Amino acid sequence: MSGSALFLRAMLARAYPRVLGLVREPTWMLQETLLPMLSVAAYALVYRTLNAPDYIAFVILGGAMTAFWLNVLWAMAAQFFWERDSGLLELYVLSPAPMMAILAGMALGGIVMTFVRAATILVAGLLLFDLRLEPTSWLGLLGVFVLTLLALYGLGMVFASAFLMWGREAWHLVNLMQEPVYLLSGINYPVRTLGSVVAVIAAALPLTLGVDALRQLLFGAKAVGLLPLWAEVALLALAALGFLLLASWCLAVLERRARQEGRLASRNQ
Amino acid sequence: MTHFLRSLGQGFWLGWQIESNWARPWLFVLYTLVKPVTGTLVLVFMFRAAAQATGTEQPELLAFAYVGNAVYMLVAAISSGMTTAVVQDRESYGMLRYVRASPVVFEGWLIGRALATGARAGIGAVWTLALGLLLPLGLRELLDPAGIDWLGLACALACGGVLLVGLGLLLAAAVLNMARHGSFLGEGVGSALYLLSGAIFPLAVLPGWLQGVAVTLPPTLWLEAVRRSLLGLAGAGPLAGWSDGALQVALAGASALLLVVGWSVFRCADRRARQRGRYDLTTGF
Repeated sequence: MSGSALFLRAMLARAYPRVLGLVREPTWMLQETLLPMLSVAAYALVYRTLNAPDYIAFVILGGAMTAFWLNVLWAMAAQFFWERDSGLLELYVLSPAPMMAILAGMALGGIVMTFVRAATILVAGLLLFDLRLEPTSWLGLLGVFVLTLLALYGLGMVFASAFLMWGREAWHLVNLMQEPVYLLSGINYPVRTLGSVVAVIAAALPLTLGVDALRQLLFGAKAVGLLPLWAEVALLALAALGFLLLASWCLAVLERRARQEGRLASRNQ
Repeated sequence: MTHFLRSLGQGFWLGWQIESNWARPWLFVLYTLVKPVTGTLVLVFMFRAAAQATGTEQPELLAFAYVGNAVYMLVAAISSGMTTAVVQDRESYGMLRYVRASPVVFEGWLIGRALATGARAGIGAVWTLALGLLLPLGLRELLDPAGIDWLGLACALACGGVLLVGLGLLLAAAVLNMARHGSFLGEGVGSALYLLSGAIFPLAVLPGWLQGVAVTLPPTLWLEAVRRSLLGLAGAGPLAGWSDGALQVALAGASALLLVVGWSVFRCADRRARQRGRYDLTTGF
């Protein structure tokens, strides 16, 4: 089998359980769609209380995109930690499948799985709060969305490689990357509200750029965008490419180190 | 009682070790302090964005949401703390069966585990409130120590402790007979209560029928009682007409009832779990 065929098959094989998992355990669907909607609704009601209805759509979009960030953290970054815990990581390493293919499969499956959650939040939010989306360009919206996912999941692959070295702290570190990122990426408000300096620093996060660019396409001037749209698109494309290359390098280096230090098979560290 | 308290202490000690010994002290402190504050600052910037858009500052509403969000951390921590303890000890560490077979009072031990999670959340909540006083958010002007109803606050906090233990036992009872993904039950109930208890907005903004549901939930009464004693602010909505005394009596009654129900249901669930061999369950997904 050629290298690319092996890569493709390993990727699809790793994506398969995630896609199938959508229908295997129906309660997961409930917890993946209804539960996030509850906190999104709470934040939306804050804007209703404050008579700022324009920002309710920000919260809905932010809630949908947060689903991808959570997936990147829990199902990409920390995934090798779970895999080691369940004894699968050593099997991946022993098999002839490239580890990058395993990561790509995790990302592909994660995107499919999370798309359902994000779409449900978006549709339910729009219906519940009687909102309408009128993007200036559907094609542009799709392009920015895909670029955002590439950058986010590229970053997730970098994290996954780093997490090969971590034990129990993985759970806490992933937890630590939730609220601070929600704050910096301005998922519930225009990122400019943070002030220019902090907002520019926050632009290092692909979630910040992606959400801001999507808002600019969806809400026009009301989005109070951080950078011009073309600049955000260019930065997202750079981030996507950079993170994928970095992930490949990190994986090679850290996998070797994890082998040397015997971390690939030691559980409950 | 001594036996119960000893079990609770052992559960707390173990829970605290699990909560804290995964990292160097500085990282643990960072984790404990940064996470709750940033979560609450999201709300602060939402208020700032709304103020910029509408040209109207609403400091009283910000204080209402800020305090509600800080205090709510305890609800989320304790409700998910007990369910996580059951699932983690059963499926990840494989030690729940040994704990159950040992002479500890199981309920006391589980409450201790949840209190360890609650202690970390409590530190985060107090730190968040303290930072709220330090930052120019308008909280300092509203949270005057001389104006705090200390007796009301003490009563509300005591009732809150009872209420959260009852809620935790009720959820742990359910998870005891569920597969691994049952741990999400705590998270789910936490999310639902975040919306329905009006943690970050006045209940008046909910649809009428949901306001009726919200008033029947003990955490709603608790958050209202804590906010009234700290800020002297009553949230707009169905509880606005309640006197402070009536609110405290209702909270005390609801908390006691929840504890009795939670304890009884947990006993039944424990019996059922033993009959069905759930203590040895490893669902593996």
